[in-house]
Amino acid sequence: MKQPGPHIEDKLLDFTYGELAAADAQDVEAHLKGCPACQGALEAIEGVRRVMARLPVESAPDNGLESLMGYAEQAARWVQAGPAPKSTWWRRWVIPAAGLSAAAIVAVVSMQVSKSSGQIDLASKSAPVAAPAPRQEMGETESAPLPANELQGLAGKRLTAAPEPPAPVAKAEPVPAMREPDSRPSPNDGDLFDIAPKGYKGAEKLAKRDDAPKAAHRRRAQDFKDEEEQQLAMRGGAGQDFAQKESADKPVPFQHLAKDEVAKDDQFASRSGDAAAKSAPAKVVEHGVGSFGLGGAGPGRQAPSEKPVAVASAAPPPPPAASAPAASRYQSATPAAPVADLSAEREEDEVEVARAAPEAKKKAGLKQEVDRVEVFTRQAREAERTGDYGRATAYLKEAVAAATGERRTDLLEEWCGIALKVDPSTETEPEPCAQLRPYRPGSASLQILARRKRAVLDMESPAQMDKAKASPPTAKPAAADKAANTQNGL
Amino acid sequence: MLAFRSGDARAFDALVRRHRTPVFNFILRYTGHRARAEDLLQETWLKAVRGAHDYEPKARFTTWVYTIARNLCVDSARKESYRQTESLDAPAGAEDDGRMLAEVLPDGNASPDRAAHNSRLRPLLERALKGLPEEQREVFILREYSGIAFKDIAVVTGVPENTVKSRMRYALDGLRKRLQELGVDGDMVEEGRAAG
Repeated sequence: MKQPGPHIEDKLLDFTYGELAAADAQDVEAHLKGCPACQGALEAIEGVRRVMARLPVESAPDNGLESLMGYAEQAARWVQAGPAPKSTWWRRWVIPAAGLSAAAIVAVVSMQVSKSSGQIDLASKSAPVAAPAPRQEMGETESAPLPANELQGLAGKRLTAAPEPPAPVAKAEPVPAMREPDSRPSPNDGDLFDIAPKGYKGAEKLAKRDDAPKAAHRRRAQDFKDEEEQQLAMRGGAGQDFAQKESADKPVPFQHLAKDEVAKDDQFASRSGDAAAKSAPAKVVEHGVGSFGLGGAGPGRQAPSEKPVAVASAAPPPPPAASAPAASRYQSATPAAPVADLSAEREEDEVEVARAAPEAKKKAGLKQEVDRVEVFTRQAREAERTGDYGRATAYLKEAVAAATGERRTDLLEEWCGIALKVDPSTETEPEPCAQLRPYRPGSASLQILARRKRAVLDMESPAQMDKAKASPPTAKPAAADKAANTQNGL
Repeated sequence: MLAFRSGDARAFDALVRRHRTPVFNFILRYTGHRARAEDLLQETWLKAVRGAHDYEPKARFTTWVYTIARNLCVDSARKESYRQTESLDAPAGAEDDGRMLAEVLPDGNASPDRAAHNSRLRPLLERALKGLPEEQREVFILREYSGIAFKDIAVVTGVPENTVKSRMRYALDGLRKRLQELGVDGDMVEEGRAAG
């Protein structure tokens, strides 16, 4: 009998489940025939399997099968559609970077455009005007006038348009200082005051005192243009008189005239060249010296075109209704003493103005008045913002002196408000408030003043006096002022 | 599975129809809880869909899908160990007159005699199976009911093949002893067959 050999229990499992190779299975079968122990082990395994096979097979539920298949179909569609593009680092940054670059380009372009437009506007405003002499309060010390060559340089910088044909103005007196070329740089290049004509010392003083950066002036120049146009529009009522008086000679409405002036100025700014240099002196004379120094007529500045000059010469010059009262008010509204040393220069200027064509003078004077008022007002407000009330008062005085009509009343009210801030005492009515009272008795500043007076009177009443006796003496005016200020919103 | 991965939804449908019931039986016998088994079955196939792009034809699809199912069962068993669960011995509900859960489970299409026999035999078998340690039970189920080869069971369970066989031997031995304790022997099984 063949010996069954060692037990093959380790192979019985594979044999039972049919995982043995055919040869191995035959060896196991042969071994099992001669080995009762292994045979018994196999029967034990198969017995358990037979019993456990009685456990029925459970059918899988159908719930959830549809959703599963739908999900699988969707996944298959995604696969068919192809993989989504991977979000690489450069793709994540490309859109924000492009947006930033676009914004930067827009910002740079807009800055360039605003800068260039500001220069053109500045040039257009400064071309036809000559600066008046400021009052002495505006500057404590006399300084050397800005040479005309600086004006030339500035004007040349700012005017980049095509040259303008020379204006046939014959009455102009040459201004030698403006013709002399000089390459000396201006310390305040770009400032509004830098381009003042030679004779305008006050502008230089103001320029010296003004610490604002050049960019701010350029911005203001842009604002100035807008406000000037608004002012001209607002002055329609005051200008109506002028226009009505003028209508006998020239039936052009005042506002149209003003707009024509602005348009002409813009045209002037777009012209440059040698012809302009020739016509520049005439321009200065034409527009008079009474204007503020918004870039007097340097060689780069332009003379008015032929058309307005022709109109001016053709039309008999009626006395300018708006400018004449303005001049008289200018003289009367301001104290004589502070402007004493400037009067001589003004007289010289006025002589030149008298030589110019009256019609052109009328139009130019109106515009120059607006220019002066606006510039002074702007400077005053800036000074007020910085808390320099003295300087603000000085500028407002100048503005009030140059302004007329409602504008003058507005400025008086503004000045009165500053005066009330500077001097809260009500012993004497401040000068601007006194000037304001006949024109606008119900103005806010005068109401504030009246409330303050009432508060003081209340404090001086017997009952208040009794209370005041109980309180420290220094507290009375302080409390009254505080109460008045709170009431007035100051 | 490769066809489905390339976008053929019908291939997945075929896979589901072929393997759904065996997988469900594996899960049901592993967990012993029908509702949980249904949830785990659904989750298994959803994972198969989501993981289709990661499928690599190194092993058979059966091995892959049973691995998913087995891992879900293990996780579920861990979660269940932390909560109070119903056992097969616990009453199924007030309306079931205190019958055991295994007795409530349906039993396919069987004759009344055989059904009656099975209704007696089946809970005993399930109890015997439930009495096995988890690692032995999963090996026995995978090999006996799902027909997975030992080497594939090793892949599914992540243990060597010899360990799988050893667990299988222990499982068979434990079942035999347990069935003897429960009074289930070959004669009883033969009676059932005769009744069927």
